[in-house]
Amino acid sequence: MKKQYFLNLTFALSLAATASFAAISVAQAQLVGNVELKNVAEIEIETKDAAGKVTRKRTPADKAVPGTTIIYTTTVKNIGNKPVGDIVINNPVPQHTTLVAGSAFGANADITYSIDGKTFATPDKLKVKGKDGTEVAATASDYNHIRWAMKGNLAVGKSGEVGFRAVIK
Amino acid sequence: MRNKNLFVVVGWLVLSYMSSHAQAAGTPAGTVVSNTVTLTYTLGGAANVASSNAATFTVDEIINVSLVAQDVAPVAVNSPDTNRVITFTLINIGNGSENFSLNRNNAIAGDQFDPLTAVVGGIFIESGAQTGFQAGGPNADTLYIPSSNDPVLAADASLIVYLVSDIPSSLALGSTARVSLSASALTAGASGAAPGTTLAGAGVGGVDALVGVSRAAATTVASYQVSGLAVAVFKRVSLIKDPQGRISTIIMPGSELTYSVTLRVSGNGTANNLAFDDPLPAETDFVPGSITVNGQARTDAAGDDNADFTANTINVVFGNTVSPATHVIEFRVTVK
Repeated sequence: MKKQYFLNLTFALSLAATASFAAISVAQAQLVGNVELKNVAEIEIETKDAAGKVTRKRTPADKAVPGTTIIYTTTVKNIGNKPVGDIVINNPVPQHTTLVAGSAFGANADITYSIDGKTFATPDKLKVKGKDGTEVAATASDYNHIRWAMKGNLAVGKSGEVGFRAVIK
Repeated sequence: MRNKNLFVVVGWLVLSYMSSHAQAAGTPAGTVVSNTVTLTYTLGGAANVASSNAATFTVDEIINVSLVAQDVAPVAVNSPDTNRVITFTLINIGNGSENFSLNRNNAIAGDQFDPLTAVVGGIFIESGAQTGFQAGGPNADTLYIPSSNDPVLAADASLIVYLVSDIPSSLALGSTARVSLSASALTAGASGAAPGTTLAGAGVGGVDALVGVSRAAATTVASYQVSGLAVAVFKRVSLIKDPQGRISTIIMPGSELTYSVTLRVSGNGTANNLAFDDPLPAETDFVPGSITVNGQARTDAAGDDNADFTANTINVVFGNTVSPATHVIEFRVTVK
């Protein structure tokens, strides 16, 4: 019994040490009423075995160098006992990163973008001022917010997943 | 004027190189990048707003360095020669501040001779006081002393480094010497490590450092070449006078011709014992007292100045002439 207690204590301490050392990126679910919201930043590591088979493994992005692609995934889960409707997820493209064109994903959702964080539209309607002052079509690197509007309700016990990829400048 | 033009070109090269790499360093090492999602939804007709946890990571340091030789063509030298300079630009293309050590290698294979590390010092760092290498004087550049004044470069910063050499004597014209300058990041374990090597906690402010594609070091080879001297002679008839002394375009018996000879010494070095001899053709008679050198009159007698007319030959002696130099000799003859 005594030994068991000691082990538990060590475990708790090492957890605390990890949390204070590395930036906290391990997904911590936020419980908001009847909805669980989770946001993770991950790095995909590609390994090739002797046979040439490529395996992709995602690990939490605690630290990364410029040029690394970060995969952001947001999960919404209905943990209550009533359907949840009109779900809108708004995610800023983090500072120091550039959105990878076409990387935003999310089943059963309308995806729109913003270049000012206020008005959202589909890519064909987003314009920016070019060097000569004329309006040109905005590109993924101009987008600084992404919005997912989920269609329909999220049933009890179900979850939805949306996300995007961004490269560290 | 030539030097000035050269400087403009080199300056532009450096600027354009730097601007093309302005994004290379990227987000500064140690930056914390955070991301929080906002969620809105309705539940039983009531609107709700929620924020997610912050997904956060820290930007690690990437150690990368670039060393560019500004002298693309071999630097022309004499044999022997002193303080011949090859200019390099050292650029920190990583995303954190780094210290660099510098090193030269005179014994690169594939050449005909090895340059000597200059007596004044082999590597200098531009002081910023005056463009180009200055070994001494008020605008002198800084002699590099390993582990004493290793340069520190912020991310994206660059530095002009001069490799200064003396050249041995008695080398054949056209001989080349290959020489290299190396810059190595001084973060322990970084220099030469395989790209992707992670050095835990070795980065700026204690973040991890990752060795970039340059292996945290750069070596750039440049060369010297013993360049020959060129002595060119241009001889032309600059003026024709008819027998009556009028300026003409046709030559006939009795015409007086003014010959203009331009002697141009170019390239590098000294033309030793430079002399000009021009035997006159049998069809012409020398006009006594007509020799001028660089616009100054000369006597026909030998020994009193550097020109004479002896044995139907114009002789002008210039002695040891340092390149570049130009001399103009003029004399007159009449057509028999």
